[in-house]
Amino acid sequence: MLASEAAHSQDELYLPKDVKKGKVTEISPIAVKYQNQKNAAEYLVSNDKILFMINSRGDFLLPSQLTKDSFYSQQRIAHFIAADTSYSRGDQLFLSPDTRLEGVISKEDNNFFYLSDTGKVDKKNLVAVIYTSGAHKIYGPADKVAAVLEHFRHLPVYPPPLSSLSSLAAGMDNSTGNKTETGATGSNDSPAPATVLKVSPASNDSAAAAIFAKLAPNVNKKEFEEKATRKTEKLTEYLKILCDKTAPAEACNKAIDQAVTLFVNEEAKIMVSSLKSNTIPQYKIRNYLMRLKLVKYDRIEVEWTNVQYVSDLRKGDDGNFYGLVQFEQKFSGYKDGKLVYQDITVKRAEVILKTYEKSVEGTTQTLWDVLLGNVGVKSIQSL
Amino acid sequence: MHAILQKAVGVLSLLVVFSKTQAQQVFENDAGYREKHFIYEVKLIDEFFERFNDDSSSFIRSVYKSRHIPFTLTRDKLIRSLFNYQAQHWDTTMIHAFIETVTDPGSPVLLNFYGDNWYAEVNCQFQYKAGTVEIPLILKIETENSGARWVIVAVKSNPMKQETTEVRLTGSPEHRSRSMNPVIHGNNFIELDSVFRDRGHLSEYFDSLFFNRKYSLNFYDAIQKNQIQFIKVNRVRYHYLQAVPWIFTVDYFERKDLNAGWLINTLEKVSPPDMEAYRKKLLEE
Repeated sequence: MLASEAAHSQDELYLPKDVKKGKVTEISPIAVKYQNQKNAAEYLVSNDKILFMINSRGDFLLPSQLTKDSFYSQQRIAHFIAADTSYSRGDQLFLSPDTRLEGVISKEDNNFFYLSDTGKVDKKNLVAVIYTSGAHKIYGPADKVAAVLEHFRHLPVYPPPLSSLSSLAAGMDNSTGNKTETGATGSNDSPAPATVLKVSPASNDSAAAAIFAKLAPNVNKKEFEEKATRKTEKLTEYLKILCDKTAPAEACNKAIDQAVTLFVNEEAKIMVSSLKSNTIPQYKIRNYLMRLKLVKYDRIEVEWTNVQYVSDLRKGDDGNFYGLVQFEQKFSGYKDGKLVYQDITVKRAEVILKTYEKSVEGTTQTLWDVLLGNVGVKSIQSL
Repeated sequence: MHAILQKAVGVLSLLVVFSKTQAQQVFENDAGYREKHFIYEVKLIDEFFERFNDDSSSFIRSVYKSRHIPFTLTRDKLIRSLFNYQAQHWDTTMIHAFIETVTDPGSPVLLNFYGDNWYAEVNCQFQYKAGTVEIPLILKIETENSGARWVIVAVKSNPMKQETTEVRLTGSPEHRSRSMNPVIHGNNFIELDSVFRDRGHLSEYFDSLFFNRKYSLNFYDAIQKNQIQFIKVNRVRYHYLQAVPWIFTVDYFERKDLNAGWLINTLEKVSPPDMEAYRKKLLEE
């Protein structure tokens, strides 16, 4: 009879035609996460593709039997993953149909396992052996093994002493110290009680200024707003140069370089949307500016709305502070004294407040600046 | 400008929430109206929070202040102005009950940007084979230490109908080196484009419970193997479960009315089990 023996130190996931080996680190109702010990990479295997798993300590689990929200399932998972739990106090032999024997294997030959020198089990009926050490062997296809193992899911997490269990079973000639159990079906699981959501109201410092002060104590909100506004105005100035027919190429290139420095990095994107188009083209900032350079007018006018919206600052998990600025602009382009293009756009820019240290006359000062991030440009009206 | 604002204050105070006829003004040529629209439109979801909570330094308050107009709007009125009054036949008794709950002087309900129980449903369009598919993703704000980030918590469909056996995780949600900053909603989550290209760190953009949810493996696998490519975000909807026992959703209404921007579009009162059921359905648990 063919048998495969597991490497002792790894958990094994049995799929219909494959075996995954590694360390199981997480089991969810959807997937099993394991780490491949050769390349340290983490993988997820869909539960519905796994027939059964046996860990390095000999505990086995069938993902198909795990019930979401079940306390019992959670216990089984915790037990399977924990490094210091053992499942059995003896060697276990699983036979078809639906039988488990537990004892001490004293000898094995081609046809039999001998238990405690008192009984023997015919390998013809055997589908799996799990040794006290945690090592295991399976006999035959994995789906047949799973069909037997699935009957033993309701075994207690920590088995009671051997003496309390009934002994003897089919397949054993005699045994005094061994135990036999036939599989059971049905479920003892009961659903976990429904969780009642409790929501705490936001703390009373939801006032933007208070949050701002808490987040960035060295930065004044008004100053931040002014700086953010100045950066967006500066960007508009550079855009004007780019569209100005009379501007020399050198000035345009310089304007592009200077405009790029207003942004957090060259990866910042400009996204252009309009009422007329379903697509939203995106350009990296430098590409966007280069494209603008090709649009030339004799004269351009940019009208700003008097107000602009500046959101609260929010601290990112990278330690930087982020905010949003939104404003409207009316753009008019003239050629030969005639208005040839006009649009009204809403611009929405991410702004990033970055702090940096600067040495001034021997002392180090923490300073801050506002940089632009991704910018959305939406045309809401065009001629 | 002052006069325009004074007039608008009257409009808000009377809770005649900006009818269509009023909105059909000469938007294009009337700079004054455009400015008023800019002031009253709920431009960003951040502003929805401000108005709902009646923050003392909200944009609308600051505009009034800068123009020396007394701010007489109560929180009750501000919240009423956050409903979508077009294409909606609201049960005014229900709105009244909702406002009573959230403005209860004993325990007012304030929305918390950094809190649990509010989600963005982001309907994304992907290229798949010769056509396109729409896949709704659920994102939420996650906080760690004193910082915050958006994370993908669930995916709501598997239009590719693919079956995934195994995926290799790239990156580590436990040791993040990448994340989505907490303001990417400002540009309608277009940052997802970069996220789905960053396949070497893909798992870092997901909530740690993402893989406990339906369709997660299929979606992750399709992104990682470049079987689907992000095109754009079609629309965004926010789900709020913070104002127990109420659930409401907020959508963006782009129109020339002053009743525009991010507005409450559905509202329902639910029992605790129903609220939990709603959350589970939303997250495909």
